Amino acid sequence: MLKKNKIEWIIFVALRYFKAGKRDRSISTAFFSAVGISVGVLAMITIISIMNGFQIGFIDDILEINSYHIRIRSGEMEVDNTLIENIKSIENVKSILPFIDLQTLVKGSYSDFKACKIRSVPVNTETQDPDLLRYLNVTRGEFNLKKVNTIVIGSELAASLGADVGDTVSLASMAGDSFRSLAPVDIQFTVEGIFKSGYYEYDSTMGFTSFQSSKGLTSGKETLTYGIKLKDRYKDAETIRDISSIIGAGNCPVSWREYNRSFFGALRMEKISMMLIVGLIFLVVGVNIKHSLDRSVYKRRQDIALLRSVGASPGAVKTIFVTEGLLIGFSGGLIGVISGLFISVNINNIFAFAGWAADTLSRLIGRILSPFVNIPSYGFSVFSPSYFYLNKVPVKILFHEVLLIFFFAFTASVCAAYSAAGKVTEFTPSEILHYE
Amino acid sequence: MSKIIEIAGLHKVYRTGAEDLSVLNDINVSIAKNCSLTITGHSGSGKSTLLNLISGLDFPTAGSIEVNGQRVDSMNEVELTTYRSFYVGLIFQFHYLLNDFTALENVMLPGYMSGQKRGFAEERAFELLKEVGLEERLDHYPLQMSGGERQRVAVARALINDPDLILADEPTGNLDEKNSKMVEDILFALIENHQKTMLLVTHDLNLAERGTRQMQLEHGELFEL
Repeated sequence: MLKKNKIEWIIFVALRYFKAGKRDRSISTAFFSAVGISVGVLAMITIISIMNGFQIGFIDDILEINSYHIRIRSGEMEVDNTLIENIKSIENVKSILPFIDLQTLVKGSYSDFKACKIRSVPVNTETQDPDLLRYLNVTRGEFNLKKVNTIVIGSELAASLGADVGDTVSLASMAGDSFRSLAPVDIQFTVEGIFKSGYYEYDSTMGFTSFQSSKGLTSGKETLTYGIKLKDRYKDAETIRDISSIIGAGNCPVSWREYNRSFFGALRMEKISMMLIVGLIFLVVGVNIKHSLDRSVYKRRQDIALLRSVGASPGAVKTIFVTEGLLIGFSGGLIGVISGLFISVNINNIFAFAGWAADTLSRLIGRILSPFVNIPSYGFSVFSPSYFYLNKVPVKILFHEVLLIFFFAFTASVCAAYSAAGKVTEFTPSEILHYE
Repeated sequence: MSKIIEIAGLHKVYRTGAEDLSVLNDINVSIAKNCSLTITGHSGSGKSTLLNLISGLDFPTAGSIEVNGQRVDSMNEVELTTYRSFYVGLIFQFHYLLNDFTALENVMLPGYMSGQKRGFAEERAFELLKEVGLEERLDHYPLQMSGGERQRVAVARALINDPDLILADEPTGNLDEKNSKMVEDILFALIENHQKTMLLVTHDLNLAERGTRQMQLEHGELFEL
């Protein structure tokens, strides 16, 4: 155990070595090492935040629009309002919406048939599940299914059908409860609203109509599904236990984890792989720090020999270099966290600025070279909505991940310093002080 | 008069490949307290080796070294650390000041390392630097000082922990005549004022003559002059 005084002088010497270079205006190895760490942390925070933005955007869209946090398949066709009220009384339940999914074909006035999933919902969906409307993002018309044979469809589907608000589309389905009784049904629906959720699959293949309007499309045998949204989706297991105690063991509520297992599993694997690949930065940074500190130890071998000769133990001298590594890791990590958070939060402005700068530069070059060659000017954009199905780069910063990245960087630095500090014992003070 | 150093049957052999190089052969010497012993000898005669062995920076091949009644040759690393902190002050031919620290910090650091409070160590370092005439250069870094000034800082540093024994290895070997004289005067005055025992090795015969006892090291053996 180091005594307080011993720690004080070690920190005093380590701090001075860390700041070395400031005085003689040269750039110290500690500075380069800290820059390496901060660039690594910056890159990792920015990449992971953007990745989180995309992934959590997908996950939220899937959960809020389509899959719900918990699903219960009812054996009934009719809505059980008592069941709804009972489930709503559970503390973690935010909302519950009954619905029926129907596979149909849809055709616009000037288009071919398109496959489409029609979700049949209550007419008061906006009050029963307000988050659904928020995520659907109705951009034209409104989410109003009160009139019979009205429909709200996705923007991509509307575009492919050539339909706008007020236009009529035909929905065809095979209604019947057996193969023998199956008969094609074709019903005209009026488009009441168009949504653009930002999730292409939903925008291109999904529509909403009311229970009343969808009756003609169904066989009458379809059963209801209750989609439940939770205040805390991670407490799904506890809530399922509560729901099971209400509905009995016969109906099995399915959690969002179960329902989307393969897709969310793929997203998780993607994220872990990305973290491991980007985490290799810290391996490189760690090796860089080790080499820097190796050089620093070698450069300071006279200092080491002198400190040993005036009473510093090998362990104390080692601790000086480990402390230097600790300072490098902490300061580099902290700068990396601050700059990484800054870049993540302002990534869209940075992309816009980069686009503007590239555009300005290309125009300038075009103007200079205009007497000799004609360079056409294209509007340059780092992140263009015309290429990606999003208007801006989504960013989601998760505090625990930022902390984890900082911890990785810090640990890499300390481990590298510990490894380099081992060289301290390789020097024989008498030889260095005598021959150098 | 009580003895501070007792060396008996001291041998040092360096094993370099197939050949053995015997540097010290059967050295036997007792040094009294408050004595300033100077040892002369040619380059490579083993003067520095002898100081390294007494300071615990190196270990003998055979024989014993006692300083203040403690066997230096059989100390472990922890004991050696304490010994070098409190019992000996080292002055080398080259100053070996830490370039990233000021004169005051260079002097105070061994005191701070040995457990003194920083403020106390700084006060004591200031007093010592005043004694070597460097009170105006406290905040100067080694690279901002002359060779003579650096060596005076090194002299002050050797005294910060008030050790009984000062071991000086060619302390003026790197200095011009004027600075050599100044450092010599300061060193001998300090030894006298602080009542220290000094073992100084040099090939400068004029400097050697200033010791209260003089010896010569030749072919690994020590002779009284």
